[in-house]
Parts: sequence; structure tokens; C-alpha cells
Amino acid sequence: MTLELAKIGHQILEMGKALAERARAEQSMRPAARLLLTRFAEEQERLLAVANTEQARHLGCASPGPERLDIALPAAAMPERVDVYAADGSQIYPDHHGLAFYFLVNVGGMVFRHGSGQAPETMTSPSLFYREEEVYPEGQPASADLVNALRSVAELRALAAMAPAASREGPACVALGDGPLLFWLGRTEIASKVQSEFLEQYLHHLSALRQACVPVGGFVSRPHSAEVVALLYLAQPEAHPVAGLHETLFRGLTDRALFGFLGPGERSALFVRGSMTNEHFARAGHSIWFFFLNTGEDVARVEVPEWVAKRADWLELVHAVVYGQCRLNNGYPYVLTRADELAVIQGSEREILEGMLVQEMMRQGLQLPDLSRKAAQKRVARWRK
Amino acid sequence: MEIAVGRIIRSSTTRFSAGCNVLRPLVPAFGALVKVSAVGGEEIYGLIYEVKMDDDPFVRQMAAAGENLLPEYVEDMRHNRQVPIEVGALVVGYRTGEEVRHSLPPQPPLSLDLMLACGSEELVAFSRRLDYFGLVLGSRDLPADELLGAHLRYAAQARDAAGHDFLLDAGRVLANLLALDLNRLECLLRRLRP
Repeated sequence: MTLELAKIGHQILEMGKALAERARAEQSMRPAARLLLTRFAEEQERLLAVANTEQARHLGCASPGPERLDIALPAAAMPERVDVYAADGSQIYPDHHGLAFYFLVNVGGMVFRHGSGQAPETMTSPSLFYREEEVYPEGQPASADLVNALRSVAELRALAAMAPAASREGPACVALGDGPLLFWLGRTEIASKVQSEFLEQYLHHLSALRQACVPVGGFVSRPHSAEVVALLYLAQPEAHPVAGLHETLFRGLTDRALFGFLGPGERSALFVRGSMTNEHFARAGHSIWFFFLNTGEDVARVEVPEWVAKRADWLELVHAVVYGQCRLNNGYPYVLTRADELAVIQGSEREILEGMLVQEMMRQGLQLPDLSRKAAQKRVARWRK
Repeated sequence: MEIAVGRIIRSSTTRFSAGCNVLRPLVPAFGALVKVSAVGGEEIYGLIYEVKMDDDPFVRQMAAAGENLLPEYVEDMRHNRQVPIEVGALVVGYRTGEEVRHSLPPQPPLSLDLMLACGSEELVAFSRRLDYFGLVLGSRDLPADELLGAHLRYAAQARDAAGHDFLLDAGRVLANLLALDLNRLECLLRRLRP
């Protein structure tokens, strides 16, 4: 059977109305939130105290940086020469119903030598995971969460590996990754020992970038966080304890909407990520800070480690480079589009890989591997596509 | 000198196409003679009748940036991105050992075989006889007359001083083949004028 759209026609109409209602509600609460941003613009000490409360931790509130909360700073011009490093990853998730239980991570990377007139350098780094200890770490079958975490580590490793060669002399450098720089560890499907190993490796790569004097940033497109909104809510004397922002006037309001006042190229003030994981990062000297940036098409969040946030020239460089990269590429950094293009694993490539696996398994005298009955029957039934 | 144009991605006994990443200055253009190995050890000759690039939204977006586009972006698009340029060739003959036949080969080239551009000597040797004109003129869905005109100009250039005589011979052969279509003959001969 196919999707009988006529049966959900009514729901689509209702959904359209609900979305319009949500957009109106968000628009109506934006002015109040912006007033709070201005009202508390210079009350950093008070906001810091708020951010350190149990209630703030529960809501994942951001902490303020040293700047006025409501500033909008224009991007500096791109330096004439700057090397931009980018990495992004892609994966084949483990599948119990597939030919064999394995997974694959592919990282695409690029060195874009802005102002050189040269073709950028590109790289890809695929890794196949199939050993017992890889696909059953700590005795648990590898999950999508584990692959995602492993991919994040591999992306940062690729950036750290590319960067030292450039940092010795010559032009300024910036390393960019796709997505948050803060590595989320609240993963229930990853054994705690494995989580700790991942975190240690990730922080090690951040330290390598710091040592190489390469400022690094994570670009978060269309962020849906409300860490600053939560901070502003709790900063009000009349705020009462809540389980979540959905219980307040600011239900559904995102930081992205709050910083919609930024003009093209402008960045917001700096804030510190409110996640519990950031405490691990802070202990290693890599507390993750962020600012919002109008890329010319949208408002994105850019995350940087503390050591970038606190060095004005590096912060200015990251700001200028990210905006410069977005200008020609519809509001998303060009290097990240290309790194994704290099990393992505097409369906046809996966078919070739699995064909090679089958050949090798047969060469080793194994019986012709088969899909599970479930996977095989799905293919039979879905033959049209 | 043989220059690799690209690798075969599609073939039949009448046509074959190769994919390549970038157009290098030395890669032959429309009308050039190319060759590729076939299963039985033959070398199949073709004339390039088409060079095309697939539609790519990313390139379109970059093109829209106009004059502001930095050379690094252009170089990246041209040299790094895997957007193949497809080069199509019309089969005009094949070689078995030392013998060159101006007819269709028994088997097509295999996928991923190298398409090579023929050098001047091989072009002169191949066009010593002109029996392959019929294969080109009979390809109604191609710009056959343009193709033959372009090819003959290359073949004449490869002969240096003897090029003029070669074109006169070619004109005579064409006059025989197109005796019943004088308009077409006239148009084709105009293309051969220096």
C-alpha cells in the first residue's frame, strides 16, 4: 500500500492552522523577551548568579559573557589571506537485519586557502568497524548514538590533523565543524566507560587545535535552543520555579527568534553553554561559548571554546570567516557544504561496498550471506522504489 | 602522443561515452579522433560528437555570484568536485593488428576502459582512406555535417602542406556520396574552405 494522502487531508489543514498559531504566538512574545534582554543587558553578575542556581541548571540556562547582552557587532572584513579547515562526517549505521553487523564512518575534509587563487585541498577518511570489540563495545551492540559520537570525535580528529601543518607559519587559520562543538554525553545507549573515552579523545583534539593556535568553531544551522530565553525568564524577580519553558509565557520561543534583530553579518553577545556536559569541557579549559550570527539568510549559532572567545582577534577572525563563507553560499559556510559533499555516502556506494563484502565473505568460505527475512521481504514488497 | 580523455561509462558498437572530471587544455574537442580498446584486442576509433556537463545546482548557485566569485571557488568547482564531464564519440572504424577498417567493430569497448585522444600521426594514418564518411553522414540524429567538417579540418592540419590536397580528395569523395543531395553537399563543402 502507499500513503493514502486523502485520509490525512484534514490533519494537514489542521497542522497548517496550528503552525500559523504557533508563529503568531512566538511573534507576540518576542518583544517581551527583547525588553528583558535590554533590561538585563549590563547585569552580568546578577545573571551569573541566576545561571548558577539549581533551577537554571535544570532548564539548561546559558551564562552571560562579558559583553552587553543586546549588542549587535558587525563582522570585520575577511583577511586577504586565511586558511579555512573544515570537516564533516557521514555514516552507515549498524543494522541487525543487514548482511553483517558492521558500521562505517566517513569524514570529508577541506583546506580552503582564501585569497590564494589555488584549488582547495580535499580529503576523505573512511573507517569500517566490524571487530567484536567495535560493534559490541562493553558487550552492548553498537547503537546509532554510539556511531554519532564516534563520528563527532573523528570529525574533530580530522580538523586537528589538518591544522598543525598550517599553523607553523603563514596566514591565519580557522577550523570549522558542522553542528555544536559541545559533545553531548547524555546518551543512555553508550556505556559510561566508552563515553569517558570519547570525551577524553574529543578534548584531546580540542587541546591539539589550541596548541596549534587554530581557532575552532562549530556552526549550528537553524538552532532550536532556548538557553538565553531561559536565562532571561529566570532573571525576572517574579519568575517562579517551572519544569520547563513550556509552562511560561515564553513557550516555544527560541534564542534564534530572540536574536532576529541582528542585521546581516552582525553577531550577538557571547554566552556560555548551559549544558551539564560543559562542566567537563570547562575542567579541561575548553568551556564552550557561543554567539548568534545573522548569516545574511538566517540566524545561526556559532560555538567556540573559551580560549577563542576570550581572545578578541581570534573571535573576530572566526566571526569574519564564518560570515564570509556564508555570503556566497545561501547562509551556510561553503567549506561545510563541500565537506558534507565529500563525506556523504550515497545509496549506490553502499550497494557497491556490500557487494564487495559479500565477495570477500564468500572467498573466506562463508555461506552466501543473506539479509534477514525481515529485510529481504521489505525489499520484495518495496520493489517499486 | 596519446592523451587520456576519460574512462568509458557507456558503450555500444556504434557509439561510446567517457566521463572525465575536468576539461584539460590538451583534451580534444568536437570532431577529434579518439580510440579505445575492445574485448577482442581491437582498437575502436571514434569522432567526438558531444562534450557535455551534467546539470548541477551547486554550480548554478556559484554562477549566480557573478563577478564576485573568488578564484578558489572556481578552482574547487573545476578540479575537486566529482561532476563528470561526458565526452561522446561516434564509432568510425577499428583496428585489428595493423589493419584499419572503416566499419563497425564486432564488440563494443568495456566500461572503465580509457578513451585516448589520437595524435597527428594516427589521425593521418586513419584518414588515409575515406571509407568512414558514410558512417558519419548516416548518423541522422547527430550534427553529422558539422562533425565531419570539424574532423576534416583537424585531419588537414595534421598533414601540414599536404592538407589542401587532402581536403580536395575529401571533397571529391563527398561529391560522390552526396550526389543526390546537392544542397547538403554545398553546405558541407563550404565548411571545408580555409
